[in-house]
Amino acid sequence: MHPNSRIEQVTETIKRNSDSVYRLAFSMVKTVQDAEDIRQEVFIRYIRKNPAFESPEHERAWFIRVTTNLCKNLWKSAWRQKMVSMDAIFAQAAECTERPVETQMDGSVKDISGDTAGVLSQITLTDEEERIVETVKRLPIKYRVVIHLFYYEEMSVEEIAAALKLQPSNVRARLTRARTMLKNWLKEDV
Amino acid sequence: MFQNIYKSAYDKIGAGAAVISDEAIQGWIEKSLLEEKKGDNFAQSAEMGKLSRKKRRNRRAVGMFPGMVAAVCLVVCLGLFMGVPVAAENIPAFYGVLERNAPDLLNYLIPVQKTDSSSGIVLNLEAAKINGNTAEILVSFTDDGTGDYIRGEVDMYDSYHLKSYSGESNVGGCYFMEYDEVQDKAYFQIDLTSTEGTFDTERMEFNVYQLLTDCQSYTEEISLENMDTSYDLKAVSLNGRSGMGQENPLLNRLSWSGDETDPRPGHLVMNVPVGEMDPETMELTAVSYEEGILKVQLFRGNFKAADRHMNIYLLDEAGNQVYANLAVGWQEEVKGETVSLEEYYFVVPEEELANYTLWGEGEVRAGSIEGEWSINFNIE
Repeated sequence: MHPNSRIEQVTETIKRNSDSVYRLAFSMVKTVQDAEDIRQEVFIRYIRKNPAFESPEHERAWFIRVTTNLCKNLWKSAWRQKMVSMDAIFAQAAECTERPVETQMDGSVKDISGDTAGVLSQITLTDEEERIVETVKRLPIKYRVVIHLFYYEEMSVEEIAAALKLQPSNVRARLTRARTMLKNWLKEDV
Repeated sequence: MFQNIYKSAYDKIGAGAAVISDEAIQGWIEKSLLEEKKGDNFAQSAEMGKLSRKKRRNRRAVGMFPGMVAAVCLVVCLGLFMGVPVAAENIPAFYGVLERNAPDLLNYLIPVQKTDSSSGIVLNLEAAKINGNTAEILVSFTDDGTGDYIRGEVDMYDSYHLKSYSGESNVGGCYFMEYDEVQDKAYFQIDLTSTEGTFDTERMEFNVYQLLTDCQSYTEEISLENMDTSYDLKAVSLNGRSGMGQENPLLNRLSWSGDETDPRPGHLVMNVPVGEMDPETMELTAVSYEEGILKVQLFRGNFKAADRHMNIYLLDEAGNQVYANLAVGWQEEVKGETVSLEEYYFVVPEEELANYTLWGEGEVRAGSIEGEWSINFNIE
């Protein structure tokens, strides 16, 4: 393949998957910055590996799998486990300033309103949307993933199972558990 | 409704992300190509090295020595720079669990890393230390991908066993360490002592037969405000009683139905309509104070479906726990299921009641999975 065509193809693929990778990453990690980092790492891996996708479904499943694996690796990192949660960041930020912030290694909060990275506080969510997003984030990671893929990406149980390399019965069980937990917390049907 | 709101929120979240520019993508591609090129150069160098090796062999030994030292240094340095991250990636995750929960064990547990699968669950024997007649073992459970059983605290009760050729009788306990959400693993520490002498570390066999899942434990204060001061009573046939207060005259009269002609006199308990309750729950159904006795009635639901129990006690001002003078248990039919109920009686003079608070420590083990997990291992 001509180098220019490869660059075009890579650019198109990245742009096609950028939003879904970012949204999935955000549903799994604690901060907007982490979601941005994960998205970048996913696409760098894509460029390096240059996988040949057999179909659009194959392409989507590949990005979902790499994104979930990278998010899990991020969680495993000891440094990340000591990170302050998003709630804590925004709680601290709300106390002192309305400007977006980022938590530093020493736990202090840095004003990053001039940074290019988007911050959740800059997004206007309704109270109901914020309640739903925060409640879903209380779920264990394995449930969050299936909830996001089912309700946002509107993937079928079989598609989710194929993407995550699980049995459909397992995905169904995870969806049921997650719905039950959400129903209890939200006091409404999911 | 949920889906619409969730989608709307994530539409906004996605729109708020920084846009990936063509320049950024170009930068990633160039970076990757550069790394690929470096890899090619490295490969070419290796080929050239092979071709010139014959020539170098002819050099005198004295001339080779500094080169060898440099090469060894290079290899050591490369090993340090490249080997450490590789090794770090391969460090078993249980070390992190030990660091958080039992750092002392980090010093002497030896990795075993053997698994066995049964009933949709994988048992991992992570590490162990056998010393004479004592054994310390770290195990974990995870789903095998076909089911969703491991999602929090689990319990093995006493359904585990360690065999060695020196015998298979051992005593000890197991302690739930943590549920690692990312690995989807529940970790246990098991301490055992053989009652038949030293364990044979050459050939050991660890077995598990049953796993209780969905374990929850909680402690809550039970309000003594707005208690009923009288309840209709009904007679039930007890299937168990405990406590030292059976001879207490205040409690003794609760032991009779009042019907002297009844050949099997019942026990009088608070008559609370439980017919509409969910057999899969545990709830306090009544708290009352009457004639010097504080009564607490607990609905434990269908005990065959799940193990639910609550430790109920009074706490005095000094923080001492005071247990019931008498506790009784019986069964009823609710919605076609046999449910278990208990009543607790505390003899407390009315003027002293304000000195106490009432507490319940609840434990629920909602799932029971039977299997045959067996791992043979040895400790070098």
